[in-house]
Amino acid sequence: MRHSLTKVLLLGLFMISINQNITANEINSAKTENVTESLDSIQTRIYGSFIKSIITNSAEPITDMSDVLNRVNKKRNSSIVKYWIAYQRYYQSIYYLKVGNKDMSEESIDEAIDTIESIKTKNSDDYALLSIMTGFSLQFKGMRAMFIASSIKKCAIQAIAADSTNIRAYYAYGSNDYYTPEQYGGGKEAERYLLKAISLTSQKIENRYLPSWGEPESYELLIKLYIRKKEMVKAERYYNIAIAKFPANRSIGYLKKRFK
Amino acid sequence: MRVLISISALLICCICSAQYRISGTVNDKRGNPVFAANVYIKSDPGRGVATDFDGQYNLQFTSLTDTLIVSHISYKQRYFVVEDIDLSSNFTIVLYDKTRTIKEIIVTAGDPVSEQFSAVKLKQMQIYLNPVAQGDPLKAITVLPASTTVNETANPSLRGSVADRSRVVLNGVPVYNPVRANQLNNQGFFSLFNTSIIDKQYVYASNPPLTQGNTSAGLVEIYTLQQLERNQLSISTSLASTGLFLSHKIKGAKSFIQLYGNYQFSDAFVTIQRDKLPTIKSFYTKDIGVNLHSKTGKKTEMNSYNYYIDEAFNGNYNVYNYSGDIATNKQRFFSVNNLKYYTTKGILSINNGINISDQTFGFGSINSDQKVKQIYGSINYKWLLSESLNIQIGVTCDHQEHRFNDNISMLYSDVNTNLLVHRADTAINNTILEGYIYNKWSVTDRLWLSAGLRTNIPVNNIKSYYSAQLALRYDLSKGKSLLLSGGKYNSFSVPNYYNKSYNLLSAYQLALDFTMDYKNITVKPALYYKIEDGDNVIDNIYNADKTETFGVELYAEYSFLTYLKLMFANSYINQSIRVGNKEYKGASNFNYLLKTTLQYNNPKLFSVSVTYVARPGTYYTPVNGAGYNNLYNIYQPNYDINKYSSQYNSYNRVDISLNRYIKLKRYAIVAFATVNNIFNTKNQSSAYYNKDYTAKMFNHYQYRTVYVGVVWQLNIN
Repeated sequence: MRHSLTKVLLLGLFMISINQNITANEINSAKTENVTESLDSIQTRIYGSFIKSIITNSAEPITDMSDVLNRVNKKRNSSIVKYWIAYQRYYQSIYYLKVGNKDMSEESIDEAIDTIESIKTKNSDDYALLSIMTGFSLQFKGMRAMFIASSIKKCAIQAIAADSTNIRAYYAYGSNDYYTPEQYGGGKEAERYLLKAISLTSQKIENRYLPSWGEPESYELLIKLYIRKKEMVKAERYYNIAIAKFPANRSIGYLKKRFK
Repeated sequence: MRVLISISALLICCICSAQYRISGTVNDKRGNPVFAANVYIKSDPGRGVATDFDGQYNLQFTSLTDTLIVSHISYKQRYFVVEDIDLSSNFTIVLYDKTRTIKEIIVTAGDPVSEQFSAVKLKQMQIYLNPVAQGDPLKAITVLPASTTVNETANPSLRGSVADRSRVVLNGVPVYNPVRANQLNNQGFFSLFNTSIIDKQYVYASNPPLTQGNTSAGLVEIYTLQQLERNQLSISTSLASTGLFLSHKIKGAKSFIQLYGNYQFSDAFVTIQRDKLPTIKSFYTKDIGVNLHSKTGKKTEMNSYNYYIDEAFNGNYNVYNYSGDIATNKQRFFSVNNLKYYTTKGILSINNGINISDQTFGFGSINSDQKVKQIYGSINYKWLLSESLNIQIGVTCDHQEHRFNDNISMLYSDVNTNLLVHRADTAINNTILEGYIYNKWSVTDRLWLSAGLRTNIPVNNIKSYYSAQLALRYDLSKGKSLLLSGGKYNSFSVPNYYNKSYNLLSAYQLALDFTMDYKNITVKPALYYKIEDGDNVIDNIYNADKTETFGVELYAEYSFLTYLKLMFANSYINQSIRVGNKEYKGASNFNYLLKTTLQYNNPKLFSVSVTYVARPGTYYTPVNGAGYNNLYNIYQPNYDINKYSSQYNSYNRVDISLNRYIKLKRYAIVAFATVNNIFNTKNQSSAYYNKDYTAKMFNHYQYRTVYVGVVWQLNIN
């Protein structure tokens, strides 16, 4: 399927690299903090809990984050909280897939999609995440995947239409095109959209409550695209830029062996 | 002096590094606090802060001659001159919802306003993978329990109503008689539409949205592609056809053209299975289609679809007490043209349709030449009042002209002789001018309400009428929804050889549709009740004044073992008709109407499906003897006074279809084969008689037939 286990593992390695400083204490402390503090650096903390789950081979750290977010959601039901609940369920799904529990993985990603879909007025980030998650869910959908696939692109288009400066929107579009087989019209627009993505900033100002992912992911996919197209000069050029910007990113670093 | 300079420098330094502070709350226009809004000074975004869950912020900065910016991904960005802000008190900032961009409107608001109230939505891929569709969009509907088509044609009959009460609409323009040679055995004769130009289609089995008029049963709305995924050339050849299809982008990726042509012929198809096609001598169809989609600007797009078909059929047929040769020939051209203009508040659409056809028909003493001209126009505005309220208004005009140049017999049943035949030239026309308003209100995340009103503007002495509807959709939970709809509807019958008039038909409908979609299981039960009024011609001689139909449906779909899917559909229909003051059974009166399909679809290997359709026979009015007319030496049938008192044998049919997709770099090959009615069941379609009506015989639906073909696809860069 479009998102192979290898990709998931690479993603995991990448996350290990940037989240080594996340401790269980920090995660647990959120339980007692107020609502705003509970969402402080939430993206990093979800990453951290996911990594801890992988390292310890236990679902507890990532599901603990779910508890934190559910408590916040009970206190303050807002679209941002729903976004992070969906994001957490997405990584929970990746974790379960990694440990071979496909049923729980499917249940988690379905829950993630339902959560983001329940946001009545979706913004660009909501659509971008929905696009990525729907793409990930295809591997569980068998024959239904063919009917769902078109909604991935539509969500990415909606994400760009809603905010033409959102890096994650362009990443979602580029990612969908990258993973769409050529016979179904894929592979033609990924380069343009990923180049656009890396020309944007992940946030206007640093905002620890809002998503900031997208830039390293866009670089990684762009490099892979050039490698796939056998345009090694371009691939190496963007690899050098990416590794300079994200030296600790093992997922990007892993690509080094492709260049002699 | 040095002391003075030092003091001055210190003062300047203090001024330069002076810390100011601004604090307050960021709210939305409803007064709710906005969480995680960015609050920062333009020249120093690094010191920016985010609001907390109470919308509060506290920002420190160093320059009074700057701009304060407040941004959030869901709201319009706001700017404030710092000097104008009273720093001594809390500064409350109100953020306003973002206005949707034109691009967003194009992506999100292009779907029909009534989308949530359709029973079924089929995307192009679903049509191709539909086990009974054979790639035809209208055939794809027949797998639904709501499809009560019993004569093996692609012309949709929905929920027990005659096909003439439902409409098929392409890009907002009605296409009447949307099938090829529908009086014939259906093999090779499908709808007029090519699935490769289709994006999606909606099926409203009951309660058609009043954005469309002239339907008193159901509605099938077909929409052509908005975007072309890839340039492609396809060449197809089969036992009875050869065709070519080209899709190509123009002006980059924004516009595209699709061109196709097909030639269908009978030689090989009929020759190898002549005993299975006893009513066909020969046939051909030649058609050509052009679909052009163009984005003429950021806010404007147009689509023009033009289609021409020339078809002919020679065979034999049996009716009343006559058996003889039948010959038809028809040329038809239709054009559907659409213009859309997008604004941030709504979508203006102008639709135009033109249909011209000329059909000759010869059978015994019948010799008919029918010419049809239709022109359709509509102007519609979909007003996006808010996220939760959409209103669509419009005016439609549908002008039709039918001209019949026929041999008409004084005795309807005398097809055998020319004794009582006279030539008649009948020209009739009808103009349906209507206005409508339709609104959809999203009350909560789970509850939608819609209401529609449509009324005619009487032209040429047509009486006034109105249509009205209400619908409610409630999503019980994810994947579970309930649709309750009801209303009054109007339509006009389409004239034909036996009924040369535009009869106003009306209907009252009430329907309850439930959908449950959970993991790999879909279940859709439904209940409906309708009363249809108006002169509905039956048996070519009687008018049914009123038809009452009550139906119960169940559709279930189960996907398992990755590649397998089981589909089950069944309907119970209780139908009665009233002719004069007497009530009779209706023709579509079924205790069961079963359709079940098992499909194996592995894209890497092959796809195979087995479909079984079963139902009791339809009802018909038998002939009980005949009177002999000495003057003309002919027998005249005496129909039973009890209408629909006889029933054909029960109908059973099993079809198998197989296809294999082979990918070879830029090329792909699709090979397909179908065997229809594999057990060669003789399903009765109509009764006919010997010369004096003392012996009854039956025409049959399609016997076992085999059809094979191959499509070669080339992806063009």
